[in-house]
Amino acid sequence: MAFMLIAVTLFLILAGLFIIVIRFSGVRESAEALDEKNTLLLVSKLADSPEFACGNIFGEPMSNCIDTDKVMALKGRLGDYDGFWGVDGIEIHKIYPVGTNEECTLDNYPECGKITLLDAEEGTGKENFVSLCRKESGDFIYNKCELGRIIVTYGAD
Amino acid sequence: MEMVIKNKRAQEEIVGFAIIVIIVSLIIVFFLVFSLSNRDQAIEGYKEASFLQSTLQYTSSCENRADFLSVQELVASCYNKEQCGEEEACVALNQTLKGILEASWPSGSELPVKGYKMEAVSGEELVFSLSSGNVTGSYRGAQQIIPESGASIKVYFTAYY
Repeated sequence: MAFMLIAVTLFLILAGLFIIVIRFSGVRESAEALDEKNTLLLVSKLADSPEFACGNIFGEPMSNCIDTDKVMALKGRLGDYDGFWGVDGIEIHKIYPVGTNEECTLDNYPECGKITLLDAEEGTGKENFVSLCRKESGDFIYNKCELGRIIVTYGAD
Repeated sequence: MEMVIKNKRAQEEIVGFAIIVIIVSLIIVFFLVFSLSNRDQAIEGYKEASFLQSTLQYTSSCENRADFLSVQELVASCYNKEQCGEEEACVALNQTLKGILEASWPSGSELPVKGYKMEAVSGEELVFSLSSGNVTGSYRGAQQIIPESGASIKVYFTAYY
């Protein structure tokens, strides 16, 4: 009887361990995926904030869209936004059309490739794809959207 | 007589143990089926979804009545077999998307992204398909639907890691 009780107890312990191992084997992956989702959401949330977002100015409402004309205007008044976004770095890079990687200024805009709003020396950088839209004038005024990425850096000491 | 009783008890204990083993095994199988079917798929492909959305908003070089077509409009134009200036809309679409994909998703066997595939379908009809690199078992994807005169065009993008 005693041996049978020991056998049953051991079996239940082993079965419990098996369940625990299976149950928690995906926890790390889930945590990493959730962390990635949260950071990407943070990046998108930043891109969709009124200071960056295209809103309805390009016809229909567009999400994941940054109005670069607005950002360039914002760049000249960064002193008013000290600590406003709660992150250490914000950079916007043009991906396509491929061109120069030069920092945008009022002199070379829009023939440039990068807008640095907050320059972070260190920290964790997370990025997401965005549309970079602006009003372009040629023979007529039209909306021009290019492909870019927004990089948000946080966690610097 | 005592021996017979002992044997009977031993048999009962073995039967009881077998029943416990069966019950616990059933619980484990049920648990495994339940936990494996509840894997969270929604958090997959968030970056790919942003890429697809941004790509569809991209302004192409196809001029149309004092405006330029977005990639989304160009996909619909390609589906309708229209022209983009001198060339077919589908040719312009392929060129634009090829440039965007190559600039955005550098892929290769030694890079984090092994390959990608982007395609659009309407019902059974393939509107366009572009791919590069290797197809692997680890992938993330996204889709967008473009409504077009009664039909709907589904655009898919998948990145293989």
